[in-house]
Formats: sequence, C-alpha cells, structure tokens
Amino acid sequence: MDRNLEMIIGYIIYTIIDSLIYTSMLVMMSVGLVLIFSILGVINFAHASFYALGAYISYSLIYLFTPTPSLIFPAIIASAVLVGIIGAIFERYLLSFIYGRADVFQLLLTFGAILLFDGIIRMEWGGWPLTVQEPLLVYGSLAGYPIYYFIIVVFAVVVIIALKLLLFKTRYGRIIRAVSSFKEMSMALGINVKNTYTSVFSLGCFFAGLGGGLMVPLTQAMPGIGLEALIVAFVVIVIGGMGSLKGAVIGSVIVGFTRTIGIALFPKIELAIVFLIMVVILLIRPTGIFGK
Amino acid sequence: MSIRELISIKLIIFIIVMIIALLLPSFLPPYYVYLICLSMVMSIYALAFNLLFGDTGLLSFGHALLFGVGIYGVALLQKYTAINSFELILLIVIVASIIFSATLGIVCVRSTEVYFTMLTLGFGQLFYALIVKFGNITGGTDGLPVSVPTVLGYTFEGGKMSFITFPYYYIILIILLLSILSLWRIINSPFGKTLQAIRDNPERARFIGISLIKYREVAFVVSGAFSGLAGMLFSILHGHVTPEMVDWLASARIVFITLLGGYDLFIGPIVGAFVYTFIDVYMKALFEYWEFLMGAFIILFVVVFPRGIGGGIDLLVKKLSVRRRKYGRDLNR
Repeated sequence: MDRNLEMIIGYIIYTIIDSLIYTSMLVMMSVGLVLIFSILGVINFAHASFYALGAYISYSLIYLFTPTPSLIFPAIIASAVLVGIIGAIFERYLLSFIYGRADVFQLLLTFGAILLFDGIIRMEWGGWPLTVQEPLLVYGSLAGYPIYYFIIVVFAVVVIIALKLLLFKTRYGRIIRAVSSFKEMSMALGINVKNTYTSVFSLGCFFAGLGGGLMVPLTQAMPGIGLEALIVAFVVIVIGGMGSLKGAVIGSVIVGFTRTIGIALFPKIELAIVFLIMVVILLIRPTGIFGK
Repeated sequence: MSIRELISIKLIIFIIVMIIALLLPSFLPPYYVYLICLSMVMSIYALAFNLLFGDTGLLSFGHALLFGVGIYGVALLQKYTAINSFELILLIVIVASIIFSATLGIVCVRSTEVYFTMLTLGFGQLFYALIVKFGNITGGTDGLPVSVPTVLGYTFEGGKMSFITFPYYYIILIILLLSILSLWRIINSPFGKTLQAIRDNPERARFIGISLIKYREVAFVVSGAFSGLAGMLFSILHGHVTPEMVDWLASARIVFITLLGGYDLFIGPIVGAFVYTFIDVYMKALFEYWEFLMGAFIILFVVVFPRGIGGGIDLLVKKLSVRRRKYGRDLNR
C-alpha cells in the first residue's frame, strides 16, 4: 500500500516536471511568434526552421566543445545568437519586400522558407536523427532528476522576466510598443521602424533558437522537429490570443500540462485533446483568452 | 479586338485543347497520362479551394481535411463495405463531403482572417492526429490501399495503369469539365457576386442586409464538396492513401498551387495545378535537395510574381489588346 502511494506520487512529480519542461519550450517558441505577430503583423511559419536551426547548430557546437562540458550553455546561447543573426538577415533581405501585401503572401513566403531551410539542414547535417547525451549527466542530479531539467525551466522564467523588463522598463521597449500601436506616427517621430522590425524579428528568432538548443539534449535533432513544435506553438498563441504575451505564457502552461498529462493518461488522443481545447476556446472567445 | 473575335478565339482554343485532350492517352506513355490525370484532379481541388480563397476571401489552411474526406472515404468504403462501384462511391463521397463541411463550416466561418486560417489549421491537424493514432481503423501511417473500382458495372482487369489510360482518364476529364462549368456558373451568379462583395467589403455587405455567415457557410460547403470529389478521384488514381496527404503541408501545397497559377483569375488554379504537378515530379527526380529549390521557387513567386502565372499571362494579353482598343485602358483591373 505504502509503496503504491510512493509510486503514484513519484509518477505525479515526474509528470509535473515533464510538463514544466514542455511548457518552457512552448514559452520560448510562442513568445517569439507573438512578438513578431504583434509588431510585424506576420505569422511566422519560418519559426519552425529557426527552432530546428537552433537545435542543429547547438548540436554541432556542443559536439565541438565536448572536452569541456561546462561550455555547453555558452554553446547553446551562441547558437541562439547565430539563429538570431540568420533571422535578421532573413527579415531584412526577404520578408521586408512584402510588407503591406495581403497576409497570405507573408504566410506563403515564410512557408517557402521552411522548405528552403529544411533543404539547407539536410545538406549540412543529413536526414537522420542526431543525439546529444552529455548535458543531462554533466550537471549532476537533484532528487533523481538531472539538474539540466531545472535549468531549462529557469531559462524560460528568465526569458519571461527579461522580456517583461525589456518591453516595459527600457527605451527600446517603449519604441517597440510605439511601433506596435501606431507605425506611421512612430515614423513621424523619428523612430527607425525598419530597424525596429529587424531587431524584433531577430529577437523572436533568438528565442526560437534558444528553445531548440535547450531541447536538443532531451530529444534529438532530426528533420521535422521544428514543424512539430511550431504547430503546437500556434495552438498556444491562438488559445492565448494572437499578439498577447501574457496569453502566450498562459497558453503554454495550458497546452504544456494538458499534452503531457494526455500522453500519460490517453496516449491515443493526446494531440487531439490539445486541438480540441483550442477549438473550444475559439468557439467561446473567438479571439483567444487575452485577445482584443 | 472585338468581343466577338475574342470569343471565337477562345472557342477555337477550347476546341483544339479538347481534341488534344481526347487523343492524348493514345500516343503518350502511361506515366504521362497518369501525371495529366493528377494535374486534372488537382485542378478541381485548386478551383474548389479558390472559391473560398479568391472569391470569398477566406484563407483555409486545413483544406487537405476536406480533400481527405474524399481520400479516406474511398479507402474506408472499400475496406469496410462491399461497395466498389465508382458511381456509388462518387455519390456517397459527395454527400459525406457536404455533411462534413457543413458541420465544420458552422464552427469555422464565424471567425475570419487569421482566426479562420488558424481554426482550419487546427481542425486539419486534429483529424490528422486522429487518423494517425487510430491506426486499427485508418491504417495509421502505413495508410490504406485503394483498388480499382467497377465503372457502370464493368470490371477492369489488367492493372491500374491500363485502367487509367482507358476509362479513368476520360472520367476525370468529364468530371473536370463539369466542375469547371458549374464553378464558373456559381462564381458568375448573383451568389458568386455576393461572395465577392463580402470579400471586398464585409461591413458594407452587412449594411445592405447580406448575412455574411450564411454566404460564407454555403461557399465553404460548395468548396468542401468539390474538394471531397477531387480527393476521391485522387485516391483511386494514386491507389494508396496515407495520412501525409491530409496534414498541414498538404494544405499549404494547395495554397501554393493556387497562388502559383494566380488566384484572381478563374483559370489560374488550373494552370497552377498543371505546372506544379510537373515541377514537383521533375524536381524530386532530378535534385537531391528538392525542398531547397521548392522553397526558393515559392519565395521567388511570392516576392516577384504575386499574381502567379495566370496573372502574368493576363497582363500580357491585356497589354496586347489595349493597343487596339478604342476606349483606352481597361479600368477593371
């Protein structure tokens, strides 16, 4: 009887930790999507590629640094910065050509970018799964769980707090909010909207790259990881309300926990439950929980 | 160029195209007949999609689901019932598509713009996930086989390829022509014009007493019915159905086909379907990293030719005819 109880409690704790990790990944993915959507007005399908690029570049850098495992986090952050730079180039030299056209063109351009980057990834890393094992063991463990798990959650919390501070306590944040609420007026006041767009897009890509990089030791770097993360992140931002950062975080928690619990209890319909929640919320509130 | 001249030129082109189309299977290798069949099926699908996108202004990113009703309709009918006659399958699939898209439409057409897109994407992925997970019914990721049906009571022996060359090519051709005719009539009817009014200015349409939701719902159902029809033709043509045919990449593909051909012209989607089918096959065969080229292609089209091939041809024709026109430039576009 006692042993049984212990097992159940252990299982519950495991599920909670698992949910938190998944939630953290979703936070990093959806926060970037929401930033880009609310400032640039673009639903960035290419986020899938930036997530995948983050995973693959991290894999390569971690592999490079294997002799000194403590350099793994710098490696992941460096790869996220790289992804941010790639994102900035993508925005400046491709996406910026089609602002002001119908939404569908931006959707399609970023969709084309997914294929483009998929091709590049397959050229560079091949089409098979790549595994990184070290970080899980390197940092020791806490109560039977690798400390790496907790670091991921800490990262997500730091991302949320940092973003909040950035948007509401700095000059740059004021500029972003100004551009988001009235683009033409900000231009008239002398704000360089073009650069703001590029930097916000780059920031969003940085978060996606960070998410991909942090998840790569847990899962694997393989073709299609980006798309899978993106689809669930879409559900998150639709549930939370497009363009609401608070919504993205709340949505991540809802989806993160439902999906993990769903996998544990109803493995057959786990993904279906997530979409079902989205449909129900959209029927009750067509613009999501925190949507305008 | 007078209107009468233009009509007669169009008629002559149509007759020539029809003669070529009728004779094609007799001199082309079976594989190319198959590709042309595929293009024709995709044409029906793209036209159905464009009724919703180009004319109603609703971008569906889950259209593969409506296509999938047809695809899986045939496979499931053949697996679980003794029905194997083409006409009966056709009838059942169309009725099922109408019922399915009517139910889905009630939920989806209440939201517009990005939310409609996301909702259809969500539903598409929902059913995709269900199809994958309930493998004991749907065959899972392995999919289900589809066999050659009987047509008007005749059984066709001798493999799928000979079936495609003889009756199936002509069946698809006839259905394509009927679909083009009916969609053309729908788009140019008062109903179609109302849809375009809703697309261009929903507020004003509502002011003059048009029920937006009702019209969008009907457009959704019509689009769903034709998509289901195309799906059914496709699955018999392909001979095998898999969940990848209904995932969101498949939905994105039909958006691309429509834009490739040109969404603001009636024949645009048909052009797109033919061009895409052949590009797709040759790219996959010739280049190892075909997705790279495909992506570059999509980006090129979106940035440089947003009106697609059809739009380009349209512009060319207008430029040529403008020189001879008495009243100067055409102000319609």
